[in-house]
This record gives sequence, C-alpha cells and structure tokens, in this order.
Amino acid sequence: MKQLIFVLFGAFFLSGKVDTTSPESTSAKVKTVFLYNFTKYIDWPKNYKTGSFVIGVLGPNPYLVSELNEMATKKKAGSQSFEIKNLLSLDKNIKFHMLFVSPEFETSISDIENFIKGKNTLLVTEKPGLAKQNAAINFIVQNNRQKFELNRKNAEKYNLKVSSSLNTLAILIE
Amino acid sequence: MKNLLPFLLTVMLFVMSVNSYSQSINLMKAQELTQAAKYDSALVFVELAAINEETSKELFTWYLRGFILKELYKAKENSDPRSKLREESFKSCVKSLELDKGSEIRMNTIQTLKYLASRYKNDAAGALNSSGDYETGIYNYEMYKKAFSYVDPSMNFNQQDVEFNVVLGDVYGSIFEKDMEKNKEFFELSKKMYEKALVLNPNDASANYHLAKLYYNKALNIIKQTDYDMELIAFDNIVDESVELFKISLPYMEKAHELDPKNVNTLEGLSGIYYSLQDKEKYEKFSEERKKAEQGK
Repeated sequence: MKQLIFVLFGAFFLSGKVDTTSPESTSAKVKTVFLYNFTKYIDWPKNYKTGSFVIGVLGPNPYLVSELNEMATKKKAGSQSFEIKNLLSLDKNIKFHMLFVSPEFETSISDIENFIKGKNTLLVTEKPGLAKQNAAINFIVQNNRQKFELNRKNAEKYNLKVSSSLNTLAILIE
Repeated sequence: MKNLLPFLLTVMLFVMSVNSYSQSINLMKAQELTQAAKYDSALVFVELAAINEETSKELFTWYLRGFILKELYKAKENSDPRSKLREESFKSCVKSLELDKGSEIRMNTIQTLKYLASRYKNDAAGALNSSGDYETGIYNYEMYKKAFSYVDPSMNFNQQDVEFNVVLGDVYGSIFEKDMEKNKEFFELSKKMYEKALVLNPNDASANYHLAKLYYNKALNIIKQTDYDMELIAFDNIVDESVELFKISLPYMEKAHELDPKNVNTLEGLSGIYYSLQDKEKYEKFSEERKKAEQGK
C-alpha cells in the first residue's frame, strides 16, 4: 500500500518537458521584432514603396523564416504587405527591401555587396565586424543579450534614411 | 405523602433503566444491521446511540459509526473527493481512538483509518493529476496525512511532502502559463511550492528541475507573447527580463543535472538556457550530451 502511495505522485518526477516553444524559435522571434521595427525607423525611396515589402533571408535559417512568415500574416510595412523569401544562393533578379545574411551562409561580404549593388536594400548581418565593412545593421551578442550595431553610412550608401530615434538602442559604428 | 415516596422512587428508577436499555438496544440494533450489511438502516440506530449521553461515551459507538459510514462512503460516494460520509467516518474513528484505552477493536479502527487514508491519497493525486483541482488536491492530501498519522504516528511525511509540493507547483505553473497576465499570482504560488520542496530536500532532482522549468518557460513565454509592434525600448526591457529569468533558472537546472546526469529533460533544459544566453560552446556541449542520452549512451 505504501509503495502504491509513492508511485501515485512519482509519475511527476522529471516529467513535464520544457516549453515546446524552442529557444531557437524565441531567438528568431527576437530578431523578427527587431527587423519589423526597423521598417518603422528607416525610409525607403519612393519606388520601393509600392508592391510588396520583400525581406530576404540568405542561407538556411528555418526558425527565422518561419517567424518572419508568421509576422507577415499579421503586420504590414506601412501599406505594404510583407513577402518573405529564403534564398540558398545569390539571385540577382530579386529586389529586396531588407536582406538578412545568416551566419551559416558562406560567402564573402564583397559578393553580397555586388548582389545588392544599385538596389535600395538594407543589409543586415550577424557576424562580428561586418558593420564596419558593408552591413547597415549587424546583430551581436552583448551581456548574453541580442543587440545590434548600426552603421548609418552603410545605410545611406543605398539611399536609405535612418531615423535618429534608432540611435537610442543601437551600438553606433562609424 | 410519606407512603408515596418509595413508589415514586421506584417509578423513577424503572424509567431510567428502560431508557438506558433502549439506548443499548439502539447500539445492538445498529450492530445487527451492520452484520446484515444494511448500512442505511444501521446508520439510523447508531446516530441515536451517538447523541445519547451514555452511549456517546462508549468507544464502540464511534467505532461502529465510523465503520458504517465508511461502508456507505464506499457504496455511494466513492468517486466524490469531497465526500462527507468519508469525512464523518474519519471523525468517528478518531473519536473512537480517543476513547480507546487499548481495546480489542483498536486495530479494527486503525484498519478503517488506513483505508480512508489510502482513498484520500488517491483522490489527492487524482485531483492534481487529471483536473488540476488544487483545492481538492490540498484538502485530500491534508486529510491523508491526518488519517495516516493515526495509522503510523512515527510516519515522516517529508519526502511525500516534497513530491506533493512539486506536483502542486506544477498545477499552479500550468495555470500561470495559460494566461501570464491574468494568472500572474500563480507564478508566485508555483515558485513557493517548489521552494518549499527544496527546503525539505535541497537535493531533490525533481524539485530543482521543476523550479528551473518554471523560470525557463516564463523566460521563453514573455518573448513568445510579445507583439511585433512593441516599441523597441520596451522590447529591449522584455529581452533583459527574459535573460535574467534564464540566469535564475540556470543553477536549478544545473543542480538537477548534477543529481541525474543522464536525464534528457534537464539536458534539453541546459542546452536551451545556454542557447538563449548566447553561449554557443555550452549549448553545443549539452546538445551533444542530450543526443547521447536519448540514444541511451
């Protein structure tokens, strides 16, 4: 009888797995909130304000693509609906408003520069040092937290106007 | 008048002895009906005995009442975790033991209490495991402890208290996660239960893991529930809060891991925490260990 009594509560020992919202999904959500908010603080040229607002994700990044697709069902960039594209290689025919380069995507920054040359694309990366090179925004980790570097000149190079309000949270890179 | 006094005294004595006899008859009738398994009818007579000044002082009255009520509970309220019949049976058994100075029926009363205790424990587990009815769970667990204390006065409930607090913490935690804003007080209740368990036994793997999980899930959920529209400064504060929750979760998850190194859930928890804290090296280490544990290595 005593054994039965222990077993009754024993079923709860170390059962109850951690949340099915995986940490990868949560991390992707953090980036997605940032990326969505960038559309509010950055102004694209007139010819980019019609049609869909296209966000490209370069490289394998299923969690981020999934989260961006989820955001696209709920939000707009001004009056423009979002369109999310996941590329595994550089396709010159697509016009992107925003291009996120996954850290796993093996390519040189100069290749990416060629890819977006002449376009009004916000280049967002996630590798140390890239904001000093060509990226307008570079995600970094600081004190265990997701932060972002902002290089205003790299944004302006592609005719993008960045609101000074974005400076508050950004780590500014000259 | 002088001649009437003996007569009056005789009448008085006669009335008193008839009254006493009829109360004993009630008890005898109750016993007879009990033996015939006619418990509803038996209850009527034993209740009369229980309210009578004389027979209410007899331990047999209360033993019999406890037994009858137990049988009626089994027949009619077996699936009622708040059964009044069971509660009254318990009270009667306790009363019987209080009057008992070492009689032959003591062991019978203890057996009744042992049965009631097991039913209370079952109902406590049932309330928490299936419906998450924590009030009924708490009530039944407390009654189980009271009843079993009479069965075994030397019983140490510490480890069972640990298990119960963990299960109850889990119930509170589930309520919290359904709506973190509306049910915010359940986070504190859940935390309190796990902390109580850890006071009783700091090396309980389950309590450590569940407390870690509570903070971990809150850390994930506050991000999950954020609207995309949230202003960046406010969102940055949410991210800060999430990181702090992961940091609070970490030592408990590490302790759970130390106590049960091959447990897949704690390994998953650790890899998740380190991923969220952007510690790639430790994330990969525990991911690898988790894979090995899943393969039984």
